[in-house]
Amino acid sequence: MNINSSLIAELKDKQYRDAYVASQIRISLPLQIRALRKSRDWTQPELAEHAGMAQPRISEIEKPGERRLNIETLLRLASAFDVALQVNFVPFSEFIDFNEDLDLDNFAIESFARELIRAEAKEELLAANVGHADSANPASKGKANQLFVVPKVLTTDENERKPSLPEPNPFSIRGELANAASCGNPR
Amino acid sequence: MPQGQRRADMDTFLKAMAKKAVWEYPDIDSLKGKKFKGLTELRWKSDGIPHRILGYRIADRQYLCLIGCTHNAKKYTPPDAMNSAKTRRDQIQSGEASYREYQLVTHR
Repeated sequence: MNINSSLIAELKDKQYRDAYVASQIRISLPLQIRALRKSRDWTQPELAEHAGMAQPRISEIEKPGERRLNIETLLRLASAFDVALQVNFVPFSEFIDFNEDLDLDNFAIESFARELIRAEAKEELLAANVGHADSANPASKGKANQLFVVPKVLTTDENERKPSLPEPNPFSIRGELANAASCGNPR
Repeated sequence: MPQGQRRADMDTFLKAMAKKAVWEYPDIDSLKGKKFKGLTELRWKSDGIPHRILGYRIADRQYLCLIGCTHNAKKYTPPDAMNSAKTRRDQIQSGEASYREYQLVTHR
């Protein structure tokens, strides 16, 4: 925590401290909701439809300080955006960092559906790579799957079984394991 | 509402605006009337009361705040806020008045 910042100086006053917390709900949250809607390319009527609310209410919700947002409303909006809503108590240092780093121009929170698609695609890719490694190692048949990240160069040619150093990659340790597997060296 | 809430709301609003590349309605709107052409108002609500900062953009990502006021039931407080804003802009543009950078309450 940078104790010399102007914000910390203000926060030393308990009244301002309490007000600062409330401001993040009353002023910042409406701006977040609007930014989130725009990241989905939704109009206010579209968000209203997803949330089961009237468009004028969405318009008010998105105006800083216009409405007092309650948890039920926020839950409905979270459901409409298909994102989670996190309400918890945190130390000021964490709270300040989040709010100071908040970038409304790039405020895009992925929906669960999109997250799932991405996660499934990633798993499929990993599974495909493991399949390559398994086919080069008959000893691994019947064993439980172990996920390794296999450097592509080691799996392109099944006949290339001579030991070689793995390509440098961010997963070097796993790369070595995969390399050993592709050389018929069971672990 | 606790004392200081309006100040905190203004700080939070201005900080959010300072970070945004594009300012748009309803956060900003043009002042009505030929006399006030070019002047805009930043808009947020605090303590249930619409708050405004009248001013205009002087350069890319630079906004000159001329006067702060509230705008309740279509009336500005102070009532001559719009004329004051115009006068101040004229004074700045003619070199009679100057301005300085507003220090946002920030942790950075």
